[in-house]
Amino acid sequence: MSSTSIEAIKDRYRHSLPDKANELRALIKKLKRDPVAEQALVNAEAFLHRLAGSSGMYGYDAICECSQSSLGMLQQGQLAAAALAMQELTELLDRSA
Amino acid sequence: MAGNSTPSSAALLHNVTDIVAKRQRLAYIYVDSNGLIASLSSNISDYGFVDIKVGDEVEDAVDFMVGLDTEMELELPLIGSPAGIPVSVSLVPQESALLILIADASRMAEARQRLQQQANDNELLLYEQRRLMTQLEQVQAELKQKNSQLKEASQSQTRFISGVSHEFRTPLTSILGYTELLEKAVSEASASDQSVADHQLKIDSSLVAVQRSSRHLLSLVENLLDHGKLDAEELVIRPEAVALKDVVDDIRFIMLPLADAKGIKLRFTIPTSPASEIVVMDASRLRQCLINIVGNAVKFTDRGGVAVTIDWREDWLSVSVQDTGPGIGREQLTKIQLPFWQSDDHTKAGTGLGLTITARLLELMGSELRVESELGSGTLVQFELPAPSAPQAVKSDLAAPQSIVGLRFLLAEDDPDIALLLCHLLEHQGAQVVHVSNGALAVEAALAQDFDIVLMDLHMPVLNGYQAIEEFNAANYSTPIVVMSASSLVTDRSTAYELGCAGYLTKPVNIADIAQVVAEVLDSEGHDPSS
Repeated sequence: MSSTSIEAIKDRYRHSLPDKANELRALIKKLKRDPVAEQALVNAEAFLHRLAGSSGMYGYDAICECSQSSLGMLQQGQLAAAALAMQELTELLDRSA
Repeated sequence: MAGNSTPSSAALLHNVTDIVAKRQRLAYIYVDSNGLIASLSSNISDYGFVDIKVGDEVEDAVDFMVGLDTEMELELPLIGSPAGIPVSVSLVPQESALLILIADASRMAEARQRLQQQANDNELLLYEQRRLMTQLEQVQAELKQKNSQLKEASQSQTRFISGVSHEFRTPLTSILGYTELLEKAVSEASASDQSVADHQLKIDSSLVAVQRSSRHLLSLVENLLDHGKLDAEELVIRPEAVALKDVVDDIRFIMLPLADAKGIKLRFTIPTSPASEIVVMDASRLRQCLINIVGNAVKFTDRGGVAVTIDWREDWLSVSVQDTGPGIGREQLTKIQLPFWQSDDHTKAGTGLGLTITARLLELMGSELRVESELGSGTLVQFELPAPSAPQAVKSDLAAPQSIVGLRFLLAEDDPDIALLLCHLLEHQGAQVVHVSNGALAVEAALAQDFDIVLMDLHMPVLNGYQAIEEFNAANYSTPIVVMSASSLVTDRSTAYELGCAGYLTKPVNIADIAQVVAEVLDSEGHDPSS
């Protein structure tokens, strides 16, 4: 593990950002299709929770902040606002990749 | 003709004599051979000779005749008559007799008086002229001096502007150059479809160069701003606890590349004790002084090197900077702390403010700048600064982060991105890490082998963090558990502590956060990682 350079690890994460953006788009689509589907909501929250933790640790502060605010909106049932924030998050992920 | 002319000439002469006599108010006294007045003109009384009469002894009757030689002609041009009228007297001996002619000399006296007055006035004018000339010379000398000072000030200003431009241009050029290199490295990486990491060395060295130049620019700007404060006496010293090592490291970091670029040696001698000492002083101001002093030494040394010695004993910090540069002449040595003063070597232009500000800052910090130098023998700059040791409590706060070298970590984290990064960072710091991706595997691993600390994520599959901790509690597991979660909810934190967790970290976390919490946890548990 330690033989891998920190730069390579950071680079690996950066390359994973487009996949994360696609995963988020799919989650948004599911939420829009069926806003009351419990599993879609749980999956979205779990995704945002993980993204908030990892992006902050890799130095993507804007993504971290947007993930946290999207998660907070979802948890408070503000689905429309959360959808907009998540849309913004996909754009952030695309731009950072 | 001659026969006819004699009587008329005699008559004319008589008339002329009469006219002159009247005009000059001529009077006479005729004295016989016995010194007695034989005859006198009737107008003699006009001159105040009122008691005089025929038969009087002339020396008794006329004061000015006392003791005079009467056998030769004599002119007394201006004397006062008894009536106060200035007169001229002519003594005309005639065989054994004497004719005394007295004429009114008022006009002559007036003329002489006017001349005298004129002479006096002239003397006064000359005196005044001399006085004015002296004043003029003084004013001219002062003007000359002022003019010279103005000229010098103007030259200093020109040198200052030129120096500042030069000083700013150098780091700015460097920043521009290195940012271009950065841009090129990044675009090359993109074009060749390589990762930026492959160009990391080039990027890192460019960034360091940009940082270094920026710091240099900052110190220049600080000097300029401080010079303004110097005039307004607004320089402020803010003492705080600081590790001497940090200050010295900063100076070394900034100055070594400059010395390397010139091909000279820059040696720092710092006894171990002061390097690790935490003292109370204004670190920012000390840094500024050292940058100015060491910067000057490096700038003016083209061969040999610069030796910096920093020592700390009994609450005093002593600094000595010796260079092998060209040295400074005795006359110049008295001027080096003057604002805008610069050396004659115009290739080494600067702002001319560094030493001025350094001397003032040191004075404010209770110190004094000493400079010893001779032409051709290098320069030695020294100062001693009060730097009391910081209180123990402050020292503990500033102490280096707790080492995690040798600690055994169990990391329960389902996110592979986070797990990968944390494993790398912890191992890089000398820790041993076992990673599991869910709570069930965490319980299994913890019960199978020894760990010093467990880092536990909350949201994990199979068993989440809370459930895993409950399993640990059920098994009386005693290794401290630190929860890491992206959740900042108070309820999550309080639940973790209620379950007996030793610490709680909110993601994103960095290695310093982890080291700090681990140190606190292990300290409170009385844990000795070396055991």
